[in-house]
Amino acid sequence: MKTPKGLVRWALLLVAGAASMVTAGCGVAPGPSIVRDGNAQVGKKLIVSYGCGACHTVPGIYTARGLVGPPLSFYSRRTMIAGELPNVPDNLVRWLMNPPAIEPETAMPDLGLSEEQARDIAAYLYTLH
Amino acid sequence: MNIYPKYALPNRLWNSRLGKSTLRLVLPGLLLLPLGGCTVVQSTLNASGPAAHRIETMQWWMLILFCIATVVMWLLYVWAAAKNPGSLEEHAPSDTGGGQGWIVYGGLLIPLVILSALFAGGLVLMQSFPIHDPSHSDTPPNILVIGHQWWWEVRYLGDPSGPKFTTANEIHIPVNQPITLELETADVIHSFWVPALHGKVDMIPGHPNFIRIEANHAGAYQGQCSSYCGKEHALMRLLVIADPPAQYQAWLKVESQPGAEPATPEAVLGKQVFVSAECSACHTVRGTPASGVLGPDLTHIGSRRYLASNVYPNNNAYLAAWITHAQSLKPGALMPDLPDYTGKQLLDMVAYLRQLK
Repeated sequence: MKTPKGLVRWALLLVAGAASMVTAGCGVAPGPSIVRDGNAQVGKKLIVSYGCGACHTVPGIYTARGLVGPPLSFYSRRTMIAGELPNVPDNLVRWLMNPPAIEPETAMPDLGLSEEQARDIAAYLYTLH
Repeated sequence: MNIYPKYALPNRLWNSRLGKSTLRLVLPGLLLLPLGGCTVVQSTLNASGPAAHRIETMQWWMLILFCIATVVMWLLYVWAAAKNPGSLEEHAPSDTGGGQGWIVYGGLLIPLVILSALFAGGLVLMQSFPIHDPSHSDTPPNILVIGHQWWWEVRYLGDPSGPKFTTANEIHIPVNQPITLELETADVIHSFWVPALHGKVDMIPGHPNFIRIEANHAGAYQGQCSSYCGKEHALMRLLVIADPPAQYQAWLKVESQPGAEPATPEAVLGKQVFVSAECSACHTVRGTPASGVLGPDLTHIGSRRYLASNVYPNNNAYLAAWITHAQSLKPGALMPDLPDYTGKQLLDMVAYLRQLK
């Protein structure tokens, strides 16, 4: 049996297209987070809605391509927050909730996040291995 | 072994050069089709005003007629392919007789009838929109909208008894009331287009145009410059917000006031930075020394929903980023990067601007 070459190419293209549509629907893999009560999927949405991407490039979030502050890649592997706090969940949550309270000269604004929201965002950042 | 009978249609289609190239065109087209359902923000098929409803009707007629024409074309194509199986070599050249009827009726007469009907419909439609009609002179325009690269200046002209003031990028109108906009430009040709409310009207240097919009439902309608005007043309959006009458009057009243005096220590410091820095060379905050006219009026920036001509949400994060690094958010915009402020100064300015409600 002779299969037309073009047909195979078409089939492959269709499969690839379908696969990309499926993966586009994928968010962050759900699972227990290092941050207590933090929900990384909710955090991802909060990062978009609060505009973190205005200043930060955040892997996994297309619109977050900011060039004002540091990129947040490999966040779980970083050792310091804002160059002065050890990078552990409770510190990150505290920092997210009110950066100027910790570092008065910082340009990172107080976004008015609740503790729960800060935990969700922290949970997302710690998925960036 | 071939799964199709020798002369089955799919096989013949596939084995003909024409069939193959057609499939190559059609399949990606079909894949793109679902995307068409995604446009809800700026869609002609989402009308909310009398003018837009007429345009929507016309749009549906065009869509339906074109769909019918396309389906008929495809049926004829399939019929022709089924009627004359085999390769081109087996057939006499198509120009050896007959078929002129198809060209005369199908290629000339029918399109002529359909396109003429649409053209006539279009002319009638245009007549019902007096865009620059002298008969409008008894109703002076309510709002002057001036296109800039790449934002919209909005001047309320004090419709009969209301206040006069300038704002930017966000136009409030009362719901269910026709409002006449005068359209001008400060630089190149722009085009004012809020698809849910009306068609497009160009903003031409030295030639004011007019458009009368009316919204039948309270809500926000996104618009867009629709005449290519330079690098950030795509990010030159605007928002028309239709308010219930009482809310509209309240908005007018607030908007005509000078900028709010800062109450918090951060905002007080922020105001000092703002008025003494280069900001005031381009921006105005009424009631302060800042009186520049090159950029948008910021007297009530805190109450606007978006920044950078309705591109980014108006929150602390985007406002801070916009001040210090506008070029990363809208490259080419007249707003320069201002990297010389400390983080504290920056956030103080954000605090000041955000309370200008």
